[in-house]
Amino acid sequence: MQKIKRLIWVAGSLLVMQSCTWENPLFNNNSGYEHGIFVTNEGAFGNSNGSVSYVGKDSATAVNHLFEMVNGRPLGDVVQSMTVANDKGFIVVNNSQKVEVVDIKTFQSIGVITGLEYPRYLVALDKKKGYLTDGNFTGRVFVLDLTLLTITDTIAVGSGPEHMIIADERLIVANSGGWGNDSTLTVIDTKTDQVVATWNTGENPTDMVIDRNKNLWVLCKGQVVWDGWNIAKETTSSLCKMDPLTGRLLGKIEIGQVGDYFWPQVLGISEDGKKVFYLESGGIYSIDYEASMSSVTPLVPGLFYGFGIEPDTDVIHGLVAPTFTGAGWLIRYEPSGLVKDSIQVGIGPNRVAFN
Amino acid sequence: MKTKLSKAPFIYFIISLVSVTGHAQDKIIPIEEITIQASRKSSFLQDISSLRIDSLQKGRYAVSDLATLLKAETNINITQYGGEGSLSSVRLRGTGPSHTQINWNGIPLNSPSTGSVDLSLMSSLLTDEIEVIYGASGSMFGSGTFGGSLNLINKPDFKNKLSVNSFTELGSWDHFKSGAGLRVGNGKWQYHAGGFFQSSPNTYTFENPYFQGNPVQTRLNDSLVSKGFQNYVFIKLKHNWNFQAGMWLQNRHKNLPAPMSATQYLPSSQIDQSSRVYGRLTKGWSGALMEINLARLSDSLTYQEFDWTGSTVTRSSGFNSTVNSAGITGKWYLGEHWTMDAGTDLEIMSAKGSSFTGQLHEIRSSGFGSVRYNKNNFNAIAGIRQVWVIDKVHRTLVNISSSYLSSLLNLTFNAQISNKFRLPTFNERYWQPGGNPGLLPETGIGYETGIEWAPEPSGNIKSSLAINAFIQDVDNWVQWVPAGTYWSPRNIKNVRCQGFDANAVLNYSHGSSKYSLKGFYSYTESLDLNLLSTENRIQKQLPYIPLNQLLAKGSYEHGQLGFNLTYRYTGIRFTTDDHDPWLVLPPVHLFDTGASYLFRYKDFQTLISFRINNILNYSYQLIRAYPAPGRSFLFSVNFMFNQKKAEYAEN
Repeated sequence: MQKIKRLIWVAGSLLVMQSCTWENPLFNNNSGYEHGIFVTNEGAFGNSNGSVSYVGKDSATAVNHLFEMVNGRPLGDVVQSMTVANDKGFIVVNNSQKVEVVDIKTFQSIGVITGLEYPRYLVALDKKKGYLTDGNFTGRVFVLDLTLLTITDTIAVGSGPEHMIIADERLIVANSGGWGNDSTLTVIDTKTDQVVATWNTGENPTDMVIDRNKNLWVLCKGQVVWDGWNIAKETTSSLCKMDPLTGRLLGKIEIGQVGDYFWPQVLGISEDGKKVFYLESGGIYSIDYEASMSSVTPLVPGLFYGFGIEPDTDVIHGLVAPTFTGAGWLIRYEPSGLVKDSIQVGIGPNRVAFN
Repeated sequence: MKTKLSKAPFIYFIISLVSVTGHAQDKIIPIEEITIQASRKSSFLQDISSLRIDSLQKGRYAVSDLATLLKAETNINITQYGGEGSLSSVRLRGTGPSHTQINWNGIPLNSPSTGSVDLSLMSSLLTDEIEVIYGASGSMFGSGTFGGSLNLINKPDFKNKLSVNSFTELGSWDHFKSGAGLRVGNGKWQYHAGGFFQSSPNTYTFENPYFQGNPVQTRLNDSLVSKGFQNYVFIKLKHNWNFQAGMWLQNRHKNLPAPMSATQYLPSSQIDQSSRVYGRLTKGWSGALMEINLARLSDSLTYQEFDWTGSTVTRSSGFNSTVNSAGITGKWYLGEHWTMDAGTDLEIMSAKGSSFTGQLHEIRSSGFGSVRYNKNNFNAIAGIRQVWVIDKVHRTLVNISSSYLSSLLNLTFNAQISNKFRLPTFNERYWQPGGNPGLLPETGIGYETGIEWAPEPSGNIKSSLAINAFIQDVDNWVQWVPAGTYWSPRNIKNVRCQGFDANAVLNYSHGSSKYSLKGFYSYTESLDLNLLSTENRIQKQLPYIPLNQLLAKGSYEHGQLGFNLTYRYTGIRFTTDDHDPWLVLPPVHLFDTGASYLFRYKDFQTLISFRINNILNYSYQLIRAYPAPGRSFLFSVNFMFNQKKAEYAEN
């Protein structure tokens, strides 16, 4: 019986894999996957078809399903983000409640961090220590041992914590509200891992960057009050400029419109810190770091699911998810907004991790 | 007009009207095991392509849901999110889940909110016959029949006085089902009542390819508790008036499992409740028959998410919908060869849900008619239906079909052309956010032709072979696509579904031994032809539609003892539009077997059955990331009093 099963399985596998390409033209025998960018593709919720695509810096092609190709198993459901640090890649797989850790050179799995509920983003403080946001209602930040790949501590923060940024030995956490609402940033001392302050900001903060003047820009997606699954109230999204040392609000720029059903979640900054990029319903916008008003016209018009700004070059990496039943696209633009090239990636591309 | 009726056609047209109602009906196949007083051939000629699961086949799955039954007895493409009672949908002939109309004694059950029916909610309890009509025409059935229709039919046997049956089924993973039915009456009236209870923890094990080393894990949060009650009354009144009514109550509480990749899972569940009633009055005259239908269908769905402890509900949503319908149909026999019918119906739909703004209402009405010509072995039918949706759209649907029986060759030829449509559902138009009130109805023309060879039984051998080819276009196919941070439905696909179905039956009997072989094969292409689609999906097979499906079944009976072996093959299935080779579901090969023994004592019978499903413990998925059960054992006892071959009357 086992033989029959094996025969059937082998025949089926051959049929399936006959068109799979195992060769990876972008793999460099010396540096492996160290020099390039990684696109995290969420996949369709519940279908466990999330993936990571690898694109060489000077290549116009991508290697999709990189994790499965190397490790022989699918990555999981809703690949939320990836952080490259300490020669490792930390892939946060939201609806699989785990962080897959890979060797960034070979992309071979070196461990899995589990015991999570709703993981979102990870930052590395140094080679030993990192932080991971988690939670859709009640939020927490897990303190991670990045060498042992274990959770060493848990810090309670606001609701739905998303992106974090490290400034002046302090970790600032954007409490986005998750499936509810919140309008605060939690500040954690990275030496003691204690909450030292909670700052008010715009409604439902999600992402942050620091500009040339060392000011903190906070992207606030706006408040949505749900009645069950129905929207009872919505407010505009905004950019808040804050002092990262005191939490003082320096300025607020409204972006988007009530009723556009668009809740921006991605913020970017140019290499020189003079341009702030944000995503809204019309496309990818940019404003000067000293601006006090939002941009009327997008730098790159279109419907994007996410984007990233490449360090050093400021090349804009727009991510398009035409459906969640097929491949998405990475479209690269010159800093001026002109199209450079486009590359097919996985399903639902949402973030870019640069190395 | 004075007409002289020959007996056989008159009986035939009465049966055809009574058996499936609510529409001008012409599609009846009497099956051998059930005596209907009409020539099988003359009835079959009316059909284009259909399949019946009769009471004997159904009896082996006494209280099964429709998904289980169809998977076991047909090669129809059923997609299911895991174990027994999981969300199941049918994709007939390469179409989508909302493209098959499910009818309960002629009353459409498809939800006005979702457009589809969860087959795992359709209990076969008390159902006398299940009919699959491939490519059912829109002029016959109305909206949403690109794939076809599934019809659940209840029939009275006016010769019955009292019959009782009860079922108990025990199986792997603490599976338990039990039900009982009663049929009582006389030549004037019949009453059927029955109920069932089911508890299926579904704690089966499966190999998990998402974890290093493919560990064997136990399925969690997939349990099901379901109960239902149905009753029917059939009454012969004076002056050729007849009355029938039915009621169906059902409640299911289903925990929703996580995809296989989950390391832990936020518990969630779904509660489905249904309350359905209908009444039907018929009056016969010499050469004419009138039928009046009234029905009320109420369905609700509640979805709940819990916190990590599973004790506190963190989010709850859902909807309830109600459909009130009324219809009247008349049928006239116009001379020896001509039959005509005409009618009208009205549906008042309403829905309220947490994602709708306020209460939604819609009124749909239609007028329909058909003419049939029947001479010797030739039949031709032309039908038309005009559909109106108040303040929205109107649509004209036509159907032309014909069939011819060559008695000499024992061959039946048939052909049909019809146009079809599907109105967008409430969800598609009004879901907040993203609902698209401007959606166009899906439309398309279907073509079909077939041939059946059914030679006269030769000695102890009886056989048949049939093949049908089809083309069905679906334009403006609705698909939900991302629109920023939410999803919205759009008319984006032009799809062509084409292929053929074939089935073969061979029965041989020798003394008290009976041998039977059955085979069903289908080849189905379902291609995205939209020129506006990105190039990596044009001309590609739609997700979850296998090109090839096969079911082969052999059975052997000797006296009261029976054995059977079934093999099911489902071909490779893509799960994405662009056929990403990494996301393909491999072919599925399943073997099931069963044995039964029937004890008889006077009017008492007890059927003891034992089944092994998925004998080879094959690890597979029907929906990506949702494991299907491995090998399972089922033991059932079916106690029957005064159960005999039914002789369904013409009501």
